[in-house]
Amino acid sequence: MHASSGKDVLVLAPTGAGKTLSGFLPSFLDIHDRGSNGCLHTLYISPLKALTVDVHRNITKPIEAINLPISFETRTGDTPAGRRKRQKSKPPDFLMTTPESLALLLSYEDAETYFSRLRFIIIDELHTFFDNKRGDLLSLNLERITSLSPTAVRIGLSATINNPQRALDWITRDRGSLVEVSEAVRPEIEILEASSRIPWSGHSAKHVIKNIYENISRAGMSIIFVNTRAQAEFVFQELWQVNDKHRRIALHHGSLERELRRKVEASMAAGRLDCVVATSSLDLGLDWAEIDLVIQIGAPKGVSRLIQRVGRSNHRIDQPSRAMLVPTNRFEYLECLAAKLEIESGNLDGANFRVGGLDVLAQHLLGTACSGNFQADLLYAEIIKATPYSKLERDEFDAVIDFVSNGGYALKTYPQYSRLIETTPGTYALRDVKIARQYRMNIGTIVESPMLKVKLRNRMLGNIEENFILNLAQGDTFLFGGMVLKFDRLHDATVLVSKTSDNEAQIPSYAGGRLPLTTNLASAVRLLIGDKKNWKGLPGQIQEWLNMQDDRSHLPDNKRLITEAFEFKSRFYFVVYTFSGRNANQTLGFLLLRRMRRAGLKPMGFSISDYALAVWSLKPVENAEKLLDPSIMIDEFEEWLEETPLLKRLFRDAAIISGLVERRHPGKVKTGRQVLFSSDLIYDVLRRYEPDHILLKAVRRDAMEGLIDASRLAATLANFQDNIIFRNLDYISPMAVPLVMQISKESTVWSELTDDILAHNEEEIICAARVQSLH
Amino acid sequence: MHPSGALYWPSQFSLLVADLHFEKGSSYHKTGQFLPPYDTHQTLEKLETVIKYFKPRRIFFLGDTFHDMSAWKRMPDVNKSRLLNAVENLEAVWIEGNHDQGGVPDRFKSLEKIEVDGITLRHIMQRSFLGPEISAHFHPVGVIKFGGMRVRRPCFIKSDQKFVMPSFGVLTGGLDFSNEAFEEFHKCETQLFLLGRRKIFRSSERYLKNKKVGRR
Repeated sequence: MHASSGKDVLVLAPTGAGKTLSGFLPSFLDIHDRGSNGCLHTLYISPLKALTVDVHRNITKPIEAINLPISFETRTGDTPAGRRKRQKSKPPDFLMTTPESLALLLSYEDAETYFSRLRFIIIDELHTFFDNKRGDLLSLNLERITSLSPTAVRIGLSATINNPQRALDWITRDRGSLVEVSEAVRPEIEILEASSRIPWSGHSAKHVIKNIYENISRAGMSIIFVNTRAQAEFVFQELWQVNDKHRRIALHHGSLERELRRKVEASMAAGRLDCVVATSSLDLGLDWAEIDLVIQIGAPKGVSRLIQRVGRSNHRIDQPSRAMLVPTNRFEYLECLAAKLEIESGNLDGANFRVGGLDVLAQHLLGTACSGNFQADLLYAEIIKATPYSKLERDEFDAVIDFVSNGGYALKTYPQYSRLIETTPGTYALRDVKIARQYRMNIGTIVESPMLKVKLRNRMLGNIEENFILNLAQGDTFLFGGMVLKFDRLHDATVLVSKTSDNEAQIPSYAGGRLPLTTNLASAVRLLIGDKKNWKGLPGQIQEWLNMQDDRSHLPDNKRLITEAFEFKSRFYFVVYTFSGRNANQTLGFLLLRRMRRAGLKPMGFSISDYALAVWSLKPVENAEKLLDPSIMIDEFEEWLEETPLLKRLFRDAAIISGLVERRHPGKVKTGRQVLFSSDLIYDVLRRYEPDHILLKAVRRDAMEGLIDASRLAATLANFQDNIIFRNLDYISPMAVPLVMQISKESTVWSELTDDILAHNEEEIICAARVQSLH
Repeated sequence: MHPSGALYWPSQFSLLVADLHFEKGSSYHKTGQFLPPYDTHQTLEKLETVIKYFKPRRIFFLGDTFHDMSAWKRMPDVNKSRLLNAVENLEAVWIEGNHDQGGVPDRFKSLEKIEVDGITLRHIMQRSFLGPEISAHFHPVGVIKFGGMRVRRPCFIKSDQKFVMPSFGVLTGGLDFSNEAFEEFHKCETQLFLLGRRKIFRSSERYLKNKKVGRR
């Protein structure tokens, strides 16, 4: 094999082809031939803690079978302190870990000896690293390892993607080779036939819970995947309501306490469960050969993601995986069918590659300094070898060093507190070892939204988004950990709850963080809708809905951008069917508010989905082309970017990742809210006094992709510039119904509007007061 | 009440400000967190603006004027003189807070509390005190929910006998009015005055708590 000859290699294989084990083979052979050298021999890196545990379990068999005298252990944030300490002084031959734990190991002063005799680095589920900051960090650390141990061979294991050459560039140094394993059989996917009416909007799947239950009852072990934690809670609860056959159903999501999650994983492996309701916490390569049905509730959002989930079932290469898609509303039905057709014709999503974040670089520079002095020239040369940073300019690199040292402000205040000191020109050292301790408590690029602990009497149940809790009043009930809980009060960043006898929660929990629809799948949905010939696979009620849309307004397709204006319940609506994903639609919403306000249309708010957005205003829109002119991406965009709270959210992440604000400080607990609020203020101060600060630059760059998705929006507007259809309707159109229904629940306000809302609120109170005084 | 968070008392020709937290940014520098060192500068700018606008004879600083004991020492000279110049021609009264007890510069005397025209001014509200009282300390923030949207703003709190000021400093966080710390206000007739961009907005406590208020 390639890797045995010392060449880096990328293996692309569909799920279930046994690629994880294949990654270990060269390593097994090597250690078999040469024997253990008492040092770290092979490093296995996966994106999930659970996966390291699972792989650890799975390689036990072959190692015992060929009687290899080696030690192999996992190391993650969950590893007990005692074992971590031993792993540091006496490393195992094989270490299975996550990117964060790797960064930690590399920050110790003995990193050089620790990694010096490393032979193999295996990176599993590589495709999950290309488009995020975690991948940035990993790529930097891989270069670090290469500097410490130049002969260590990289082996990347990835799901199949449609642009493998770029993935190869990302993972291998020069001369890397690509191994592609083609899929033996395509998965069998069906869409659940609903016996009842498919709802216009919502994501509850309540209308088909009985059908879902029948299917899991017939199957052996099954996994039900959902898109959000809230949805997981809801579905789990609903299933228990109808569980008259006493199936063993469990719940698994990232907010549950670690122990609870572990228990579920162990029960699954031991075959003590019939069904698990899970979020992406169980998405990746955990190998349970005995799962024979995967159910995806809600929109798949992307073809590759769906294949990944479907691949969880039936890990035998010669038999097809079985999966069932459950659309929860009408648009999702279209998306499910489009995804099914794409899989059948073998069209995959392309992987997205990003430019490395400067905040991640700042974290990495501090980590590198923690392990020992560094020379800026050498480190720069090392860093630009990492693909995401290959275009990093030297002056930016220097600015990041300055930032790490003392904040990088034009106004220099306390040089005695600098984190780094320049010992000789170009050589930097950590000022104080205490800083290393702080750094190690704050490693990582995943910034959770502020979370609060949920406590039932003396038991910790897990974490919940602070924003959700702030919207509750005492006595409100909500779903968590599979129980209906009553909110009692908030105490020291802990949510105190009690059990209730209610079966249904009053407040449907609602969480963001949903992935946007991929470009590839979006275009497949447009194609599906645009041509009636494609409607064969659609149930009667969906066809009827589309036909109504065709009669009353216009059907979206691949060539035109459909827009509508109508009055409904004394508000004027303007709807644009962009199919550009929720992030781009949200951005367009904000920009339209701005432009419409300027045009005197008095816009008040908007709501979005992956497919469209609806803006409501006090005056009607009469000209769509003017509003959607691509110049909006320059005029309004620049202005908006300066003010948007979204940028503040990104800034918060960047401030934390870069180490400007700490998540944890030795001996201190900081709650999410404190971090959020102070980072907002820092952002304002910085923008005012140092608009060119490196961190603001980092945030602006992040904003273009991801949350703001400006590039995708710009492409949509430019493509359809001359093909905008505007329909002025007497009444709400069938396709707009879901968005308009959503408006009261989750519309977004423009930050400048806040004063208008306050004023409005005041008026209402004054009115109420007048009415009272009349009585 | 001024949208900056300052309070003007016309009959006393007095201006009240609270929780300026000078040098809060730099207080983090020794822990290795390099917050932007411009907060003092910006808070001073705000202070100069309101003094210019109201032209008071007296100014009351209601505590936590400085973020910590050594804040005055840390303050760059240019900012020190700006602060001194700002209050030069008026009578400045410094009430001490929990952050800056004894940390007010030598040339000013700091008081635990003061009574003005029958109203007690102090840093932290005293529950057992029954007379009229103006305090600060909590950095209160009000949240208005409206048709699924939330607006969060610093606010003044006013009940029958108690009045709580928002923080005037630019780098200071806030505590939601729903917090237990404001428990006693939840039980009585209370009004909040939220700081808008250009004006103050009024909201009653009842309205804030009633989360299901929709549009007409």
